[in-house]
Amino acid sequence: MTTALAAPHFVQGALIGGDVVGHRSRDLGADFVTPAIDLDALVMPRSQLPPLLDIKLSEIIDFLVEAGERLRLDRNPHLQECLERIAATNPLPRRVVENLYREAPFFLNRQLLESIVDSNFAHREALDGWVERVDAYGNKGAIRAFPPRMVHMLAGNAPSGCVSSIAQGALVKAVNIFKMPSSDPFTTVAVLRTMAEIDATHPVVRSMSAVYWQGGDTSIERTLYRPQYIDKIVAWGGGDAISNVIQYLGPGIELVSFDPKTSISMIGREAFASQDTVAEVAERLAADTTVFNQEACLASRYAFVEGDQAQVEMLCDELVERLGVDRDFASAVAPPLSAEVREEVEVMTAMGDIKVWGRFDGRGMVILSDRPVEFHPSNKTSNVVMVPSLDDAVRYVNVATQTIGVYPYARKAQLRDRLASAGAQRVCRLGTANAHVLGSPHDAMYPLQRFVHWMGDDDIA
Amino acid sequence: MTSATQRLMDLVGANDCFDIAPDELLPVQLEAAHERLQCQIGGIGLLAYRAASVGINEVNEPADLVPLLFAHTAYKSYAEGWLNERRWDRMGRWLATVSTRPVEGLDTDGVESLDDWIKQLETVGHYLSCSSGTTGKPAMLSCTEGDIALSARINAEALLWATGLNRGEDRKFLGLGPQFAAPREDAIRQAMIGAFSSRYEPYQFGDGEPITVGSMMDMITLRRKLADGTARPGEIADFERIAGQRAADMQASAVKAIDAVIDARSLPLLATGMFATLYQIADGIRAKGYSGDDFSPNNALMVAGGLKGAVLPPNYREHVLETFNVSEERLYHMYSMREINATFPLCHAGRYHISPWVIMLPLDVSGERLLDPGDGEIEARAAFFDTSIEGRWGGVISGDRITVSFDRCQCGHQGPTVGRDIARYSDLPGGDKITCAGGIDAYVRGVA
Repeated sequence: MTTALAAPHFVQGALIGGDVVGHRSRDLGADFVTPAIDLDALVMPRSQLPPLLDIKLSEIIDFLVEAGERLRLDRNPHLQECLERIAATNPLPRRVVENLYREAPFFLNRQLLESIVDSNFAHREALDGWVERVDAYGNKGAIRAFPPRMVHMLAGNAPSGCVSSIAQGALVKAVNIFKMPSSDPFTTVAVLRTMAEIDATHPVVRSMSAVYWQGGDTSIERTLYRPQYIDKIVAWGGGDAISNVIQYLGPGIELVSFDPKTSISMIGREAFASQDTVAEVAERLAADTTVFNQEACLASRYAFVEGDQAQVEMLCDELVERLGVDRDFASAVAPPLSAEVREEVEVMTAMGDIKVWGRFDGRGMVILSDRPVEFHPSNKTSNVVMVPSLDDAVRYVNVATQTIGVYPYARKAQLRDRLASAGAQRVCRLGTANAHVLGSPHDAMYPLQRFVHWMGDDDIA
Repeated sequence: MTSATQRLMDLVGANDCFDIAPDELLPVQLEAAHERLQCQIGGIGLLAYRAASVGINEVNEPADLVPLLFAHTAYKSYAEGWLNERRWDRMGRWLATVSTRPVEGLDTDGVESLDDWIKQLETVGHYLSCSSGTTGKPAMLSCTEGDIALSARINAEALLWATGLNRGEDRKFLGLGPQFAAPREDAIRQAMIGAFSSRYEPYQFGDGEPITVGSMMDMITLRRKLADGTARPGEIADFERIAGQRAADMQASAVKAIDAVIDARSLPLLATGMFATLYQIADGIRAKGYSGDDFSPNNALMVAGGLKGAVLPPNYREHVLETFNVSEERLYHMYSMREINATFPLCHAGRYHISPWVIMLPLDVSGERLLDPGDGEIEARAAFFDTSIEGRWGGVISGDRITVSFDRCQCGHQGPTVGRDIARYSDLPGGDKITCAGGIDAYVRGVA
């Protein structure tokens, strides 16, 4: 029997330790203990103005950038300690988590933060004060992007994602509660502790709390999820946690959800121009497929390929090799497929309906079929679907389709209007699914402008 | 010498069938499992594939069976698209992959619907037992004539064992739940009627037409079209209207059933149903001013399945038993599943007893590792090898979380037993899992 891991809370600048409540992590069944949640301390009453209200955006960005500098794993003891603890709760391999931590400072990079503000707000001054405007009839007024009170429900599949959420919360000057996931009840507090070491009384720090409760715990959620306390609940993903939150929505309390998504690839016959292009396309497709061992929403799961049988099989040969290599954000051997998916693959193989490359050993699998498989490919599994033309693949795109990596790149422009109409949210060059142009929309929205409380002052004479 | 399988089959209906020491049984059970493996490996494509990939060709100990078990989902591993597009050739090839008998020579020329196909399959010796498809794509399990006859016999014998009723005592049979049309389910029902009900006309809930899996096809097709994004609003509206009508028909049938039960109150009864419907009918009986005192004593009740998501008051069980005037020992409750022929009766000490021709295989949550219960009780994922099954491979991993003990039961009988508290893993709260990766299923509402 190992002792339970300590998962302290962080409430408005103060670290709260304690081992009052025992929990078990969902994915790996590790025991951890947290302090009890003092809801009175956690909820900042509306009679109190948000701590960041009168802090200039430029000062907030300076503070975040400095925090980013201090998040470098090699000199940050809090993250180092987290790395040890998270292995017990998170299915991602330690090396991948380490790489994610190394990437974390990027989320607080000045250019990124500036571009997020610019792409979300036509007038960034509205974050700092009341911006005056005059309409076509000469009526005067003013608007302000007033700080919201938010709960961020963090996802467990990307341990560094909390840094991005902290940045978002700070940029809109929100009063923030981060609800940590059971697969990572540590990282958010480590990041906030790092910030508190710069200045524990800084308004950014005083605007941040990170706590864990088990999703669905009505003793917390029935009390907390009320418009009197919270304006927006931001959720990174879907699942039971979201279905559960929906019951608390109503006038004055809104859900901003980054919905569960599937990503795909579209590969034109140009891929078969030469052995070299086949190898390049296989590598690019493998790179997109394996992001976070395919736990990420932007990880490709289906590849629609133009080509004849022999050509496509040649690509599959190369692809399965490339799925099995170590990468910054993927391991050579991922957790194996679930028994139920394995069964479905075995049945279809035994009846000769699909052709399979690779084994059920977590190194990666390629399934070639004439229509998309009906299960959700995961754990480094790519379902290659032969299509006469990429135009025929558009019908498999729907509102759950997030990223579409395309090869050759020029064909993005031919496809993108129809892909958008079908519900897709992003096209990119094959092999770059995990890279983004700074300030791009996420899930077809600019979320920060939805977070803020748009307050008007109509000054009509 | 008779085969081990036959020796186990001879135990069906035997007096001491639920009182054999596990250690004594195990060698025969393993021998029977080995016999099944040898004679089925040539027919069941999935079994041959699995045996080859794990390198197991014989069964010497229970652990040998574990990598050869099929998940219960194997029986719904066909592509829904084939069903919607009526690709009977592919459906046939799929069925053959998970069945002992081939699907060769099946004439599908006149086959228009799923019901037609299922009927036509009987001409080549496949008698399908299908789940309803109300909560997903229907499972389809091929039975032989032997499986059907045996399932019916096993159920009747288990009922006699658990309740102490006698074959031939006259009781009016009340089927108090919707009737699904399927050879196996029909035979189980007929065997019960045959055992107890020669004198009184049996009553069946509904309008006389059993529900077929084919009648659920419109729901299955619409769900697929919604996921594909091709369903038109008019189709959804039509479907909603039909679903509303079905719910109203169910309600009307329940009202009729209340009167039928009241009319039969002076007769000795054997009623069957699920608690959710039985509770509703019991409530109706009370509302009309009748109670247990109006019913004949010694009534018997057979309850199948759990609550399946229905929310009932905590005293639902007592409420039903009192209303129908059924004493605890006349309540027959069993644990079973479509994937096996056996039914495990609940004893008076409140535990389900595993039939001797079934190897109980308690597994870890992931279904990969055999757990050793020692001499205590452990929580496990239920898996079984039912040596009686001809039409399919007898090894199946269920979706159920159970507690199991190999110790002698408090009721005095030997053999493995399962505790009353059975949950489906899929019904357990998902906790706080939240992930940005997911598919279109999360976006399909209303025809779950």
